[in-house]
Amino acid sequence: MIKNSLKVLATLCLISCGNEFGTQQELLDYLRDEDNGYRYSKSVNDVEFVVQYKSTDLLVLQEMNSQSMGMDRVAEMREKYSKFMFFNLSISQNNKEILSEVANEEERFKQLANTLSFEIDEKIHLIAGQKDTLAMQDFVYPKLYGMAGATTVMVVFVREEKYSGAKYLNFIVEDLGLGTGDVKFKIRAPALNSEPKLRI
Amino acid sequence: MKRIPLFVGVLALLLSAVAIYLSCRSSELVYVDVNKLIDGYKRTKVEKAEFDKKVISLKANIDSLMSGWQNDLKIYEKERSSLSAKELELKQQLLSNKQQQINGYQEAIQKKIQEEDKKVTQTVLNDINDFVKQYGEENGYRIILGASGGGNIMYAHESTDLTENVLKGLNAEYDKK
Repeated sequence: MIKNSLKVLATLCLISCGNEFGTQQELLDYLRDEDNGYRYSKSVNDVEFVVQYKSTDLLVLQEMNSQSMGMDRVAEMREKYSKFMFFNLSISQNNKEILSEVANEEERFKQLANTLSFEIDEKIHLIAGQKDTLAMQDFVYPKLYGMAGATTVMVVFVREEKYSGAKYLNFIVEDLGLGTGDVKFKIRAPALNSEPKLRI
Repeated sequence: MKRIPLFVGVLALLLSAVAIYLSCRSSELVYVDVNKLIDGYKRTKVEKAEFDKKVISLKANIDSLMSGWQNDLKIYEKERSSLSAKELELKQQLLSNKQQQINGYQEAIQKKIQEEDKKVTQTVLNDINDFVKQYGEENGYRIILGASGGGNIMYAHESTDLTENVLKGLNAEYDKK
C-alpha cells in the first residue's frame, strides 16, 4: 500500500516538475508548440485561424507587472485566474487583419467591425460532451487599425468542474462573413486541466 | 524448457506479421468519395433544411413587396385617366422609385442567399475534412485521397474505398454532439 502511494507520489512529482518552467519565454515556447495541446491552427479558404490557450500563470505574471510579490498574493491570483480559461483567437487573411481585407467594401466592413466589437460572444462557442455549452464570461477585441498581422480576440470561459473529465472541448468559430463556414477546433481537455506552471 | 525457443519463434513471427500488416496499411493508397460523404452526412440534411427555411422566408419578403408594387401599378392604371399631368408624373416617379428599391432589395437578398449557401457548404466540408484527418491519423494512413467525380481518381479497387467507414464514423461523431 505504502509502496503504491509512493509510486503515485513520485509520478505526480515527475509530472508537475515536467510542467514547470523557470522563465516566461520557456513557458510561452511550450504553449506555442502545437504538439502540447495549447495551440491549434487551421486554414480555411485562405483564412488562417490560430487558437492559443493563455495559461493561468501568464495572467498572474501580467498582473504582477514585474513587481515581486509574496507567495500568498501569488496563490491568491492563481486562484482568481484559474477559475477561467483564456484563449486568444487570431484570424488573418494574407497575413493581414481580416478587417483590412474587406476595407473596400463598406457594408461588409461595418458588419465585421460590429461583430468583432460587440457580437463575438454569439460567434464563438466552447462545447463539451453532449452539446453542453460553456458560458463565455467576457471577450476583448483590441483595435489595432491594420497595424497587426492578424485580428486577435481574447475570449474568456468559465472553467467548470463538471467538464474536467471531458476528453475534448470543441472550440467553434462561426462564419464571420469570410466564407469559412463554422470552423471547429478539438481542444484536448486534459491539457487544460494540467496546465504548465511558472516558477514565480 | 525446450518450448521456449519455439515460443520465441512464434512470437517473432507474429510480431513481424503485425509489422508488415501495419506498414502495408500505412503506405496503402486509399480514397473517399467526397460527394457521397456530403450527401450521406447527417449534418448536411439538417443545415440544408435550415437553409431552405431561410430562403423561403427571404423570398416571401420579396414576393410580398412585389405584390404590393403590382397593386399600386393596378391602381395607377385605373386612375390614370382621371389624373392631371403633374399627378401622373408624380405617380410614375413613385412607382419607378419603388421598383428600383425592390430590385435593390432582391439583389441584396440573392447575394445573402449565395453567401448563406457557401457558408453551409463550407461548414459541412470543414467537418468532413476534420474527420478524415482524424480518421487517417487514428488508423495510420499516410494519405487519403478525395475523389469528387471530376476525374482526379480514374480507377480504384473497391477495397481502397474508405467512404462507407468514414461516413459511419462521421455520422456517429455528429450524433454524439
